[in-house]
Amino acid sequence: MAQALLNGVISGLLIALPAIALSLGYGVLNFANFSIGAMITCGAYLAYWINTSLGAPMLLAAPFAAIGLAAIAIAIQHGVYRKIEDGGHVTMLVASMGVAFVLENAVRLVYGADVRMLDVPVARPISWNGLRLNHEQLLIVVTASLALGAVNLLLKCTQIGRAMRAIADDPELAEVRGISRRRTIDATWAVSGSLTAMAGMLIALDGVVEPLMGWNYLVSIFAAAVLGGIGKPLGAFAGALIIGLAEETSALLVSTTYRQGISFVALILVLLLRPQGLFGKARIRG
Amino acid sequence: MIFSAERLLMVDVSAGYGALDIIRSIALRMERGRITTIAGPNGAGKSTVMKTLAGSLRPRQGRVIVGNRDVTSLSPPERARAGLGYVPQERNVFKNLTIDDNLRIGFEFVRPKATPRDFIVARCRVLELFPDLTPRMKETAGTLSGGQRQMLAMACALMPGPQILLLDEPSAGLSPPYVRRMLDAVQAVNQAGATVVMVEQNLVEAMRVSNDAVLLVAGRVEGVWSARSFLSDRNVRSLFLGDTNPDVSMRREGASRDGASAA
Repeated sequence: MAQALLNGVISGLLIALPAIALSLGYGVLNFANFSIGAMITCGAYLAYWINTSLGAPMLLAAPFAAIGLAAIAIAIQHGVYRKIEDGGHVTMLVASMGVAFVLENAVRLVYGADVRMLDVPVARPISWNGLRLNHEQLLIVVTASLALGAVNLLLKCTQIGRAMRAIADDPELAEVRGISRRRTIDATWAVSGSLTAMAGMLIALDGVVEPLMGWNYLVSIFAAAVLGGIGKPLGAFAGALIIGLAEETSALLVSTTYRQGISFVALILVLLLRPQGLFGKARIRG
Repeated sequence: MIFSAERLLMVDVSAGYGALDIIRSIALRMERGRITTIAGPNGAGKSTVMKTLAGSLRPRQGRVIVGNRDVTSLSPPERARAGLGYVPQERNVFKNLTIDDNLRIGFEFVRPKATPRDFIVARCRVLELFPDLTPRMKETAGTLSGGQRQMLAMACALMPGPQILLLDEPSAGLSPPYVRRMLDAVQAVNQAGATVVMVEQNLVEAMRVSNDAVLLVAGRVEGVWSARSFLSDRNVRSLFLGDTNPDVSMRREGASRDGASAA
C-alpha cells in the first residue's frame, strides 16, 4: 500500500506538468489543447535526438529539448492557431487534433515506430523500509517539484504571470490595461512547451520512447486539469496528484490495464457532480 | 497637480459593428483640463463613442487625436500607453484577482519603464482618493460591492497617471450616496489635472461636476452646452423629460412619441 501511494505521488507529479500546461493554455487561449499528448512525445524525441544522435548527456539534453519544444509550440501558434483565432474555441480544439497528428507522424517519419530507449546508465533502486524508489523516479520527483515551484512563482510574482492571469480573467479588459495579448500568448506557449518537454523526458527516462507515448497520458492529463477546475493551473497540480494516486492505488484492486479507465471514471464523476472542479468556488464571471 | 492634461479630438468619426454605423460623422472637441459629459437617450451611441476613443472599436472613418498626436490606428494597449485611461461600463475589474494585483496590472503595462518606487507612489496617490480599498488589498475583486468595484475600476485606470480619463457610466447601478462620492472622485481627479470625458445617465449629479455637456441622439451630436445651461435648455428637457416639444409643440401625439423614444 505504501509503495502504491509513493508511486501514485510520483505519477501524479509527472501528470501535473502537462496538466498545468493544459490548464494554463485553456485559461489564456481559451481552448483545450488536444495536441498536448503529441507535444509530450515530441519533447521526448527531441531529448532522444540530442542524447543519442548528438551524444550529449541528459543533463544537457533536457534544457535544450525544453527550449526546442517551446520554440516549436510558438511556431505552431503563429502558423496555425493565430490564423484561426476568430473561429472560436471548437475550431481551435479540432485544429489542435490536427496538430497532434502532424507532430506524431513527423516523429514517425524520422524515427519510425520502433521503441527506443534513452542512453542513461542503469542504477540500483534505492530501498528504504521496504519502499523501492529507482533513480528515474527520484529524478521525476525533484524535476517536477522544481518545475512546479517555478511555474507557481512565475504566475504569482512576475509581470508576465500577472498578464497571463489577467487575460484568463478578462481578455478585453486586459487589452485596455495595456497588456499585449500576442506576447502573453507566446509566453504561455513557451511555458507549456517547456513543461510538456520535461514531462516527455521524464516519461522516457522511466520507460521508453515511442510515437504513442504521449497519447497514453492524454486522458489522465485532461482528467487532472478538469479535476482541478480547468483554467486554474494550481488546481491542476492537485488534480494531477489525485489522479496519480487513484490510478496507482486502484492497481491493488483491479488490473493495471484499467488505469486509464480509472481516470475516465474520475473525470466523469467530477463533470457530473462538480463541473467547476474539485477546488472550491466556481469562478466569478459576468 | 499630479496628472498632465491633454485635449481630445474626434474628427468626422463614424463607427459601428459589422456594416452598420452606430455613430455617424461625430466631430467633438474635449478641451484639456475639463470634464465633458456625453448625454443622450439609450441607443444613442454613447458607449460606442467611448469604445472608439479607447480603441476597442476601430472607426470606419475619421480620426481620434490626443493632444497633437493621431491615435486612430493604435490598439487599446497602445492607446493606454499614449495616455488614455479607460473605465468600461461593465466587466471593468479582474474579478478573480486581488485588489492589489488589479492595481499593479493597471500600472505596470502602461508604464513599462517605471521603477518599483514609482508604483508605490502611484498607489498611495490613488488610494488617497479611494481609501475604502486600502484595508482590502489582499481580497479578490469579485467580493467587492458594486460601488467599491466601480471605485477599484477607476483606481486602476488612474494608476499610470493618464492625461485623459474615459469613464463609461461611472455611477451606473450605485446607490445615491455612492453616486455622489463617485462623481466627487471624478472631480478630484480632474482637479489633479486630468481631462475627463464621461458618459452618464445621472445627469443632475453629472452636471454638478462637469464643465461641458454633449448631447448625442441617434449617433449624431445634437449640440454642445456648458454644464450649467444644459439641463435648462428646452430641447434637452423635451428629449429627457418629454414635457414639451418645441418643434411640434401643438401636436400632442408627436410630443408623446418623442418622449417615449427618449425613455
